[in-house]
Amino acid sequence: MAAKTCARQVMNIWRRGQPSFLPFKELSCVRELSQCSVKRPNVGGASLHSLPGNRFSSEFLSVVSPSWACLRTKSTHEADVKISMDLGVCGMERLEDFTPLADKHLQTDVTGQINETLEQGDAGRLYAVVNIRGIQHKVTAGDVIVVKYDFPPNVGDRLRLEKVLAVGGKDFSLIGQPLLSRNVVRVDATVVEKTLSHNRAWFVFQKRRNFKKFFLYREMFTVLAINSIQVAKLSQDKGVQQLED
Amino acid sequence: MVFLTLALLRVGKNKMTPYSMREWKRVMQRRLSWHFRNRKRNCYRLSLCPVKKSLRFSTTVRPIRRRNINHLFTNRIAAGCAQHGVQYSSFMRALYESNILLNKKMLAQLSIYEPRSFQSLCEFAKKRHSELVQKGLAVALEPLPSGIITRDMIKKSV
Repeated sequence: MAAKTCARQVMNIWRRGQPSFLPFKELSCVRELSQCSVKRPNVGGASLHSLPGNRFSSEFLSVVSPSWACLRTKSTHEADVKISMDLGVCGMERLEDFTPLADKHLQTDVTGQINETLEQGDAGRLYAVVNIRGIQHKVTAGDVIVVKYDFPPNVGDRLRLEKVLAVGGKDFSLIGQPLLSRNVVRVDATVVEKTLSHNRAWFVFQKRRNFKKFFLYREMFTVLAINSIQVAKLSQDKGVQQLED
Repeated sequence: MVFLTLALLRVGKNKMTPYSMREWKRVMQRRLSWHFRNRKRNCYRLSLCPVKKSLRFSTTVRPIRRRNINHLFTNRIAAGCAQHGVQYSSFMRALYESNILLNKKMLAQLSIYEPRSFQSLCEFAKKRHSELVQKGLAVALEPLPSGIITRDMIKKSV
């Protein structure tokens, strides 16, 4: 019974035209519908059924598998439906021919290539994703960053930012799981300035209740200038998953 | 206290408060309302409520702003993923399960300013998925139909 009503609701959306947004409350009925269907979703992606724009494909009906208990927020749902579905993108493409990530030859190849580029100095301008106090910054040499609230280092101190999540250059990128080791990356910074922010207002007001609070506050800022990012050559012995460019 | 002009000295310490000095109140108000439209910009009485409103908004909208920005990041990542044939939710799941802790802000920036790094992340997600499928976890990943069992399925589970 539930499946029938769900099917009718889904068909109505199709008849109305461009179903650019599935209303959030109908999500449960769509999941039921996918469970009722015997046809498997086309994971390979190589058939008429999975052409872009096909509103009768099972990808349109299938939802993220129930084994992943995720927070399906409205933004997530919109991102999946509006952008991915309109372009005819299914959950994940299955690659037919590929070398697995743990393949030794692939790893040595990639590390060899990266070491070559580093030797020749072809890396170019490097960027690094650095985590300072829980906030991630994408940083290059010569950048200026602001760290909010009380930060112990004084003006003129040279710092080494150790929590590096990713590093990249012209032809390669290294992504840590979750962090890159100290032996591979080095990000140097100097403390340039310690100031206060501009005056920020805090004003709370409730009408007809004689309630209002107003105060101005200034937050402490520390300004860091990034001096350099250095990447060392990678050892070819360790079994680490490498990402190519 | 230093009085820079004789006029100010004449007025004296006692009277130099926003409550008693008419011009002070207007000057302080105009610092907040100079960019408004119409008479709210120039007239003190008419700008009292709008200034209160603007201050209230600037305070109460802070968590909402965070939410909107997060939403924007989500959409940007999804658009970048879709160009490489991956859905947003599958992509984020793959990163989470392989212990890559780049947050949404960073992923959105990479998708715009470092397209090749972002592409390599998408390829990584696809390869990981294919590996899982090859290992035989495809059956676990696909949603099960309720009560309908085919001969094909029985053979696979055994």
